[in-house]
Amino acid sequence: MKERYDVTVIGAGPAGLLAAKALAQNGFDVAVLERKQDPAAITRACGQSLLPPNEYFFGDIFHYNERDKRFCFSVSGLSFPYTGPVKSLYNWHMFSPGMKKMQFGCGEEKKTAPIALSYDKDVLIKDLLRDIACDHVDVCAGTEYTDMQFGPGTIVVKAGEKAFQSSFVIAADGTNSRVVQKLGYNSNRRHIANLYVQSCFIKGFKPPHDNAIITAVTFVDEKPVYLFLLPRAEGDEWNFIILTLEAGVDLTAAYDRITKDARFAAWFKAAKKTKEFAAIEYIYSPIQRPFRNNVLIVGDAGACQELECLGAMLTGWKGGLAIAAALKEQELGIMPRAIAQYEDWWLNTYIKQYDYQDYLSIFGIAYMFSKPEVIDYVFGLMGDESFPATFNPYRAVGLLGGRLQSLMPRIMQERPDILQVLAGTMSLFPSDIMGQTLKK
Amino acid sequence: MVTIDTSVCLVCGGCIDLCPKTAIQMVDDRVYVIQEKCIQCKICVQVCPVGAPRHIEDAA
Ligand SMILES: Cc1cc2nc3c(=O)[nH]c(=O)nc-3n(C[C@H](O)[C@H](O)[C@H](O)COP(=O)(O)OP(=O)(O)OC[C@H]3O[C@@H](n4cnc5c(N)ncnc54)[C@H](O)[C@@H]3O)c2cc1C
Ligand code: SF4
Ligand code: SF4
Repeated sequence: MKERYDVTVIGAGPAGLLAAKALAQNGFDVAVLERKQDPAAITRACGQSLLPPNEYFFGDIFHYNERDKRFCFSVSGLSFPYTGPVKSLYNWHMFSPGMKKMQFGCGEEKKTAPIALSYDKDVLIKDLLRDIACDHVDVCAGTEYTDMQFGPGTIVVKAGEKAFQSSFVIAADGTNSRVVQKLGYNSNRRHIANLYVQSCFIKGFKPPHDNAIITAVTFVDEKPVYLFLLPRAEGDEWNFIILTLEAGVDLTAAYDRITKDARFAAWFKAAKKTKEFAAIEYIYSPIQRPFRNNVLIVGDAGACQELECLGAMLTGWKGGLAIAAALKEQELGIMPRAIAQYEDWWLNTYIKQYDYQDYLSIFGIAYMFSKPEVIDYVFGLMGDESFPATFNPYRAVGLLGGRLQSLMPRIMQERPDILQVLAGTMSLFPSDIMGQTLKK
Repeated sequence: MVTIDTSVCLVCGGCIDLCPKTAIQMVDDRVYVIQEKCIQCKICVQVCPVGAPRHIEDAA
């Protein structure tokens, strides 16, 4: 540990490690603080699938360079080693409470690019740690950020008894960021809902479709609960995520009920949990300008682009480069502009082109269609024909919205009652619908 | 008093971040309540997805 660093990075997740990489490669002294003893031991629920390798996303093209075992972002010029397993996923099957199905992808594997790559996040973090160790980054594990003090030209980051001095700080402490709270950002953000998650790796799961992503909307005690099932990158394990926006759903009991439920029992008959995870997230509208008091916010800490680790990586990398350039600007005594440029990219590409309202729509389905019967009807109608292959929530929402619009005349004829329900909610933002329903 | 049942806690870190008094910390991969800082607001009890934080009525 040094007396002073150029930059202190808080959090050794994907965002923090890529920020550290960007800075260290530019020759700056970086400390990374991580509260877990082993940053690579994942304890928070995550789908561990990278998406979407078949289209532009956050202004970049992400892909796996199999020859050299590297993850690459072609537009940003970012690439780093990933030595772990990768499994390509081609289809996404989405079930309604009554098991009506919509499908993204034609079902003919390998004729199209995969919609997502299942990977092992422990290996990803391990590889990133190895990569930045070559660049002399000090990773301080078992070190939890507790507070921050601002002096002239220096920020002191407190972690229990330890203190880290630096010119800049990068906050990559993930969703519910304590640094973001400390800097007072949340008073200008809109709190929309809370996301409660339990997940597990399971063996012996009998999927209705192989190498596909399976999701389902169901209800537990009349409260909407979402299920995500993703094959793990290696072997026959699956990652099973149960998620709800409703407080007070006993997710442990929900697991038992869902796996024994007649609709799903055949899938789970021989299933055994091998590892368990949890997550809780307060969903806020994104931070618009992520730089304040010489602290830059990157990754999930600044925007709930949850389910999108790619965004965490890109913002970490680009944010790290921006701070590296800012340090150079100071050194050379030239007019600062790197951070402002980064903030413009954050706002105009990361936030505005990927509207969090669209991301929320995926979780808003149960609230927009409000009743299981309506969800079944809509899924039945829309599922007649498969959608183009994607697991990109922003794109999926557009595709679903477009088809629903085109089916309106038919719904008007068949089910005017349902049309009325839809008319009431489709003109509202998902955050408003959720806000209204959840606050009741 | 609020304490965390470490046999149930999955160390996701959520309650640490959401405690309004920064009264929860991670030490050696275990999550603890710092009793002197805790105001017994029970937010941690509400947010934990696995029900690990427990509120025990203090003896009068
Ligand atoms: C249910 C669920 C499913 C998901 N599925 C997917 C998926 O399939 N694909 C995908 O790409 N993404 C998925 N994600 C999202 C993904 O997990 C995040 O986008 C990504 O991990 C964010 O990276 P980050 O570096 O910003 O934050 P994190 O990965 O959360 O990293 C933050 C790091 O900071 C540390 N930390 C936090 N506070 C402190 C502190 N006070 N002091 C020191 N260290 C601290 C944490 O321990 C952690 O290591 C999912 C998320 C959830 C909740
Ligand atoms: S929210 Fe629950 S599982 Fe997560 S760290 Fe706190 S007590 Fe543990
Ligand atoms: S009861 Fe409130 S103050 Fe005490 S640890 Fe829980 S969240 Fe923090």
